[in-house]
Amino acid sequence: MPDYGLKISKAGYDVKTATDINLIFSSELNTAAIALSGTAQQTGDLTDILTFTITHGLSFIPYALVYVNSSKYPSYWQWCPLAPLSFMGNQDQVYNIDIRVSSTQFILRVLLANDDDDTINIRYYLLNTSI
Amino acid sequence: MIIFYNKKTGDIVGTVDGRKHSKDVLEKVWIGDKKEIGKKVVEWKRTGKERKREYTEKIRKVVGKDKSGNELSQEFIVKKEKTVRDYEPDCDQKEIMTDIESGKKRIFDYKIKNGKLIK
Repeated sequence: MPDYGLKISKAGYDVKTATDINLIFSSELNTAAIALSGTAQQTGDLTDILTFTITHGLSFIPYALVYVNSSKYPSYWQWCPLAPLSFMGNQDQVYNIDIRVSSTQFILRVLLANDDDDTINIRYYLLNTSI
Repeated sequence: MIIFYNKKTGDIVGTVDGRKHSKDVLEKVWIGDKKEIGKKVVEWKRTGKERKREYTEKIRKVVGKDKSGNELSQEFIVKKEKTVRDYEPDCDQKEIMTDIESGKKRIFDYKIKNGKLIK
């Protein structure tokens, strides 16, 4: 089978002969591409559990990158590790964040710790790579 | 962009990024409960116009030789121009959608009523 694929070189380099370090993109390298990305928002108050359900339809379990932002700390976007407890903005403020990914859905749940309205924004990136 | 909104209140609950979406994404992707949440799809189309866009490129030029006769080069940044095709949102609220995509406006500051974005 002949070679096939896609390569993009840096400016000034011939894409046909450029070494990997001089490429911006190569389909030979197992680069994780974004299959689906977007935003979601919900508002609640103390002890509410906000559930963000995204039906992705990818037919595999994708890697998920998620950033979360609270209206209490609008300048912070916190990366969500898969840890049950997360701090957001001020370290006194503890949110319980839970993320689950299946071959059909991405679900993020946030247990709020504030005693008044709090708007949670999420920015999600589901990668074209199975876990 | 695909915008998902609460059918009763019009509140926007989420989005999927992008100017064009595959058939799979349009059919399968959903945010929230299908019974409560509606969706509005705004894709982008070519305007048929072209425009000039400036960009910069780094180039390396030989500027002389050292004592051993090796060529010395220096990096320069040059301004160039290219012609690009114009695209626009395929809807009657082009300006708002363009501002949302560029980050000038926040999608969550809007609601959807009768298929339109309103404040």
